[in-house]
Amino acid sequence: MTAHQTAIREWTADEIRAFGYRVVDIIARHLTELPDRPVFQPVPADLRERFRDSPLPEEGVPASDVLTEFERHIEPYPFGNGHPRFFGWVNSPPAVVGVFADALAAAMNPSCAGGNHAAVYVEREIIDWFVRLFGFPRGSMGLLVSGGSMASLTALAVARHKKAGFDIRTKGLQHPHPRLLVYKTHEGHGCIQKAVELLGLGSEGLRIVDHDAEMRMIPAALEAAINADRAQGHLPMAVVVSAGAVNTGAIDPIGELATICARHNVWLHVDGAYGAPAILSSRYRDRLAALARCDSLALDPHKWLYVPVEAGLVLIKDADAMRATFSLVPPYLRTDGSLTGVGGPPWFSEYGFQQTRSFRALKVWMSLKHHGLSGYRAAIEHDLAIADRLADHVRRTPDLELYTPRNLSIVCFRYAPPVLRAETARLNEINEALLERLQLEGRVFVSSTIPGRHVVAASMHDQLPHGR
Amino acid sequence: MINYRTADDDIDALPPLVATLGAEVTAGKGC
Repeated sequence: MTAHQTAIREWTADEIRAFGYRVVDIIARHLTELPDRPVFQPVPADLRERFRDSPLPEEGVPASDVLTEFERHIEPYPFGNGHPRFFGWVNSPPAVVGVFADALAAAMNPSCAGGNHAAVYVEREIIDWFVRLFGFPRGSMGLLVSGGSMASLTALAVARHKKAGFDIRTKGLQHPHPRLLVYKTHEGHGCIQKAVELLGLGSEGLRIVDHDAEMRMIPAALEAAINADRAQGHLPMAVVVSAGAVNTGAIDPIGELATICARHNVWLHVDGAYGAPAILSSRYRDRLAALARCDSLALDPHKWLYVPVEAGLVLIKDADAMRATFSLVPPYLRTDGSLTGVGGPPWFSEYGFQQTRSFRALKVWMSLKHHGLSGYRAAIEHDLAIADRLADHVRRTPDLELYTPRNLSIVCFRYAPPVLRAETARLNEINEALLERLQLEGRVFVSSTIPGRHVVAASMHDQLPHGR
Repeated sequence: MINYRTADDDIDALPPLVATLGAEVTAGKGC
């Protein structure tokens, strides 16, 4: 028996405090000193080798030693999104309340499959808040999941169950049936293809609908595609539209598309993982009001609501269909739960794939409580304003070309001196090279690309300021 | 008064930086 093993015992309150205070010191230093460091620096080669070659520990070491290792080898090499000049992808900076909410949730460490404990009611309260925010009817259901990809997968599983026209849970897809089809544009998120493939529809079951110059799905093109597929004996199952595509911020014409889906009895799923919170802003409130007409909505509180990852949310109007998709309780035994007993309300595990589920609701709940809708509204309006400022500056800078139309907080542009504007391939090559240099120099971090055109994409998400 | 972290200077510095790097990369490619 080693010396350390003999020392294993329960932590005292003082030991917990001492360790926790050191963690808090690290967090405080990390969050406040980030602006003085490079936005991003790759993990050095020797450290990469250390991670690659170190053995699985046979003997434990004191927790303080592990913390020291974290300080030396992990904390100095962040993703970058806590820095004021990180404008890459759509990754909000860490927000203090959410950071500590994660610790509190872990301290309670419940399983949120279900039960009659507080965490279950916190998650139900959050779902109800979002149901009201987006104009869904009371009685709609939802679920916190890891992120937008899992939210969309969950929604499309419910769509498949509801629209297949046969008992898909019993029969599966291994018997004759019409081809089930899902529609999106090229701008729709890649997770939709993954979901379609996982659900057994095959990538050939994914129809790409034309978009207009603003990267928005063309309603007439969707309706023509649905009609053509029906004429072939196929079954249009779901349409996936974007409320803020992550490449360009494009927002599909949700209202018009909802009318078409209703006319053809097709499920309408909106991927609002990034853009849906913009409904709080005066600029996008009207355009996003039609979210109330969709059958399901994916939203990422870990994007524009500044909750630490992972925090995704799916809302589904037809709560019974959601439960019927996943529940292993036979329909005749399903109840409204046992609110005075151990069981509590109907279990979340009946509404989704996961059984053991974390208390991710706490960080969403604490963040919403602390900042309030007014705090988020101000932050989103601010992000829109700094995106406008950047776009104006790009427009005035010689040799830069602004990608228009602009949407939400994303600004796409490229280096394109007039003499080279006809040379698309060359410009792509130049912009790809300059982007990598920009990222590695550590002064500022931007991403990314639009299919077929390599551009600099700046996603403007400033630090969420202190609430009240 | 709300204190946001990204300063106007942080934003304003980006376009000229991209333009400068673009010119350097282009020159490096023999333009």
